[in-house]
Amino acid sequence: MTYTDPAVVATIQNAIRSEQNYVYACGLTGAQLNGGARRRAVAQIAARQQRIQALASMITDGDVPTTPPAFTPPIAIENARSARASLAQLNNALVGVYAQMAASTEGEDRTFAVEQAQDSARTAVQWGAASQAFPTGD
Amino acid sequence: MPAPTRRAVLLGAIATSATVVVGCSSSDEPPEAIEIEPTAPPEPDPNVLDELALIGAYAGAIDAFPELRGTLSTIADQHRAHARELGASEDELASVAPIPPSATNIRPAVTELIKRERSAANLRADSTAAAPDPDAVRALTFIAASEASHIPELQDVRRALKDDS
Repeated sequence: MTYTDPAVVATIQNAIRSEQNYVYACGLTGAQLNGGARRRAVAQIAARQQRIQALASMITDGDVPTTPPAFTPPIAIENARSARASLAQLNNALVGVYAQMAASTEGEDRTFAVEQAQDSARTAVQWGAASQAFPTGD
Repeated sequence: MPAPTRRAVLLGAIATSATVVVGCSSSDEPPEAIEIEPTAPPEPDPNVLDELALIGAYAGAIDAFPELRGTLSTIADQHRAHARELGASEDELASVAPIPPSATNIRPAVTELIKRERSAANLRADSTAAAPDPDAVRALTFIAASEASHIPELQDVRRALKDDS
């Protein structure tokens, strides 16, 4: 389904921008992470780019936001510990983004949003965050 | 077969449904009866029941394996928050009885909790399809995500336990 309702389009654009930022942050962590953590971050870049493609297919080409040239994560990435914390925080913030998208879409697009919210919360824990009753990036 | 008397009809109505008797002080006529259709009690919300069962399962696991209290209590508290968000009352929360794990060893007991969380996350996610309004969708999505995140957390707990435990 292609959404044109501005309120719905805005929630999907928000999800795209948040995922673009996450991809950028994963790239930033490359210099700080090693071994399995680094491989995981690299794998997530590819997975999140696929998500962005899926999200972009829900709105018209003209509504798809362009990739920003840079992004400054709320938690500065300075070492392995802060890299993990930053990726965990961004994933928990994504849960709220997808919850908003789920509330404004329907059918398989809502299912997609719920699945991405679940995956983001799981990934936050895998990056070292403690689980939360209502995950947020705060 | 004789026609039923008015009294028999009234008694029948009382037996099968709520009946309101309306009196009239200025008349010798017997009071009129107004029949009110019985209303079925509301269906219990399967998500609330499932959250209460999860709380009971965590309480049972903590009773059986007190060494897990730290992590499991934190997750159980999150399920209490979920249950409240979904409409559970404090009385319902207070009356949850511990559900002992069927496993007698600690690792299989954690595995049971992981299975419960996976099932809960799926139920909450599926429930978003028929949620009555956007606020309910949003709440169920947050809860579905939270419960999905309990799975790797419990897997970490299980990994930290000795293989033979």
